[in-house]
Amino acid sequence: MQKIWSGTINGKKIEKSIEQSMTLLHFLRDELSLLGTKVGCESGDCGACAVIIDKKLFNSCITPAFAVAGCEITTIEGLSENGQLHPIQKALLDTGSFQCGYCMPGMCMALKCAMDAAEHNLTEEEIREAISGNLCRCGSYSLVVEAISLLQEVKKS
Amino acid sequence: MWNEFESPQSVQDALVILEKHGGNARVMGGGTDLLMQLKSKRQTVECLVSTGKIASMKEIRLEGEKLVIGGAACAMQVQKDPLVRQYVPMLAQACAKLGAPQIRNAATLAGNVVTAKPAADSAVALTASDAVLEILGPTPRSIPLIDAYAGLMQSAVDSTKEMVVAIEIPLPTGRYGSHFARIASRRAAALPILNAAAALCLDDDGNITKSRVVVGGVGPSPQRLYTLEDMLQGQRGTIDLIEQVCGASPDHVHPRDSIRSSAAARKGLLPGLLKKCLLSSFEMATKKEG
Repeated sequence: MQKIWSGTINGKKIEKSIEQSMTLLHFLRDELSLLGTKVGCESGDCGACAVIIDKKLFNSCITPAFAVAGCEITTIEGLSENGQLHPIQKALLDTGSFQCGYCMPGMCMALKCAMDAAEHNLTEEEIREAISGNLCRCGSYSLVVEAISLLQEVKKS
Repeated sequence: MWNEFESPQSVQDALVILEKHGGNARVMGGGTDLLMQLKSKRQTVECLVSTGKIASMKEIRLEGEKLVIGGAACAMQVQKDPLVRQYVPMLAQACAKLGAPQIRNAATLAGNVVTAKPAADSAVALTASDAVLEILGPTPRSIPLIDAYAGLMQSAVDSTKEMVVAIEIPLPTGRYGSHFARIASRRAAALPILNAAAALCLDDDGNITKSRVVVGGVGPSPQRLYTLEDMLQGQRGTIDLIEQVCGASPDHVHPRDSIRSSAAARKGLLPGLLKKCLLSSFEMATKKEG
C-alpha cells in the first residue's frame, strides 16, 4: 500500500508516494535514482548501503523508508559541495585507498559520521571502530586508516 | 514482507494499532533482526509498528531504587549513558560490543531481548543485572529477564499484541563490580562464540554477599550458572576462589556444536572468559568504598 513519504535528502525536501514496504535503500536507488548507495549483503552485515540519518549512521538495507520519514538523510551524493569532492573522498582518492570501490560510499559515510561527531582527531583505533561495520573484500582497511590519519594531520597544520 | 508501516507517537496508540490488526501486526524496535526475517520471506506481517517515535520509551532514568531504561533506547544510547555506566557497567560494555556502530544506532535493548537470540550481548548483561521487563498489552505484566525466553529463538513476549515499554534494573548496593566480555571470530559485526557477564557485591569485610555468573552461547538463552554463584556466595572474595570457580565452570554448561564453534571449544574457552569477568568485577568492587 502506498503512502506519502516526506523528509529531507541531501538538503532537498522530498515528497513522494511510495510503497510502505520499501526499505530506505530501494527508496533511494529505485525511486530517487541515487545510485551511489550500494546494494551489498542486504542483511545489515556489510555497510555498503550505509547513510547518515539525523547525524547518525544506519544501514539503509534494514531500515524501512517510513521509519525515517521526516528525518534528514545524507547519502554519498550529498557529500560533495559545489562539484568539489569532500576532503574525506579526496584523501581516500589521494591515498589510493580502494581497488574496486564498491564499499567506498558506505565507508565515506561512516568516516564522515565519526569525524563530525568527534571533538578531536580520531585515533587509529577510533578510525577502525568507525568502519568496523563496513566490509571491504579488497582489504583496503589499513589504507583507509592511513588516508584519514593524513587528512587529520593536514587539517591540524 | 510487510504491507503497512506505522510509527505511533505513544504506547497507547501503538497498542490500539496492534489490536486493530488482531495478531497480524508486529512491534518493531530497530528492526535489525526482524527485517532480515521479514525480507527472507520467512514471515509476512500486515503491519509493522515501530517504537522509534515514542519519545517516552527512549528515556533512561532513575526511579527510586531502580534504573529504568526505555524499551526503545538503542544500544548506542545505552552504551554512552552516564547512569548505565555508573550503575551497570557490564551493560554499557555489552552494548558497546553489539554489532557495529550502524547496528547499535538502530538496535534497541528491548529488541535484543525479544528477538531471543541465544547469545544476545545485552541480554546476557541484563540477566546478570536481575533486570525485569515491563510489558504493556492486553495483560500488563512484569517478567524477569531469565524468564523472557520461551524456547530456542522464541520469546515469552508476544510482539503481535504486547510490547516491552521499559527494562528495570534494581540499583546495586554497597561495594559492587560487574564486567562483560565476549569471544567472537572478529571484533565487530560477529555473533559471539561465547559471552559472559559477572557481578559481585562485597561487604565491608570483603565477603561476597551477592554473585551473578551468566553465560551466553551454551544454551537457548543466557544461562545463569547457579552452582558457580553458590560457590562464591558468602565466601571471602579472593583470587584463589575465583580461579577455583572458573576451573569448575566447564562441568556446569552443556553447549552444542554449531557453525560458530564446537561444544568442546566452548567448554575450553569458558574458564578464561569467566576469569576475566570475575576478576574485573572483583577488582572494581574492592576499589569501591563501603
